[in-house]
Amino acid sequence: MEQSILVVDDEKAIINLLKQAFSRAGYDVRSAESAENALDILEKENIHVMFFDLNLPQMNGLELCKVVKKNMPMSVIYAITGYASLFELAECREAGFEDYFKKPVKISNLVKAAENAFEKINRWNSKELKNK
Amino acid sequence: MTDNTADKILDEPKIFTKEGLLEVIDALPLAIAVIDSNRAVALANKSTYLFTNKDQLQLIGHVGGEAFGCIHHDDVPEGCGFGPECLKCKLRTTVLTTMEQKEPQHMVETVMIFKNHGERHLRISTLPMMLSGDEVVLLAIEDITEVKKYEQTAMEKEKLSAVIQTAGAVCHEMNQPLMVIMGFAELLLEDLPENGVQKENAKEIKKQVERLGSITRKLMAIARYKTKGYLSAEIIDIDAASDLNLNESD
Repeated sequence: MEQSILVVDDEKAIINLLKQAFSRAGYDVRSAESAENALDILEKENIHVMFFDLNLPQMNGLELCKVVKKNMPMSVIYAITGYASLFELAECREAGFEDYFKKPVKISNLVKAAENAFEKINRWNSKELKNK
Repeated sequence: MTDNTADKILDEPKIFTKEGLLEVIDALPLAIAVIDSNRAVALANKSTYLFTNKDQLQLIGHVGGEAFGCIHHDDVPEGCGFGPECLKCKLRTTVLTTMEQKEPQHMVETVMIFKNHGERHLRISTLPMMLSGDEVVLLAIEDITEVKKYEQTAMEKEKLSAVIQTAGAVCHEMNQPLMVIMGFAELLLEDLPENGVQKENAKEIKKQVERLGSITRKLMAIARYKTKGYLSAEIIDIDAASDLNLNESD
């Protein structure tokens, strides 16, 4: 099964970068420049690993994360932000983000995070199968 | 004939007896002293004794700087009024101006250093008057050190808030392109052959962007208002102002 990642950022250059980086690491990458666009993609596609920018137009990354986690509690979502404070960090955890990266972040760290996310999801899936 | 009694009262120095004046000034919360024509303390209220932490023997009859405990009284053998620092002393010049011009002086602010309680910020007012037949100056001293400290703290809080807001905006805008440059430098490094000049150049780009990233992280962690001299200007000292101390900036 192809491992898909959804990247949400309103900066085209960042989307371009993350698309290239995750594709090289062997992942299938979908992208959206707004939260609304991201929700449309998630309705149609089965994606469980995501990277959201926090500062999105209209619905922000925190709100988007809350909506996604409500519908897909097993999804693993990471926040990437250009400006962070401790208050935001607490809010991110509360919204359901798995972890939190401050820009500029090393690509290798993001790829590592994606690997961990898929590893976790696979573990959860195998447990579910055993329970059934 | 015009009766100008009221004008005369305003023009002429106020006339008091020592006892009468002491009764009035003892009831006031400011340090108030009477300075005679020899610049010595002729009378002082209770607040002055509290302010100087001295008794009547140590205060009355002693020249201003000695009585109040100014550190510069000991600068020269002649004492208060004769040292080089005395030329700059606003307390001394305010009293002398009042005496010479027979005009009151209002709310003159100055900083003095005392032997007993260090540097104090003072607000002084004076009034020329007649006391038991002598021309004297009534000197009121208000210690506004705490007020000044509070004003300074409030001003620094305001400045800090402006610095944090500006730093936040700058960091947010800068971190986007930094992320893009750093990310593509990383991808470029993967593509370039080992031991080539281009690989070294790409490494340098990545290193410098990481350095910029550490500066924006320090900017985002600014928690206090600290400046440092830079040529003839003052700039924010990012290392001292930030809660992060990465020591990477030159």
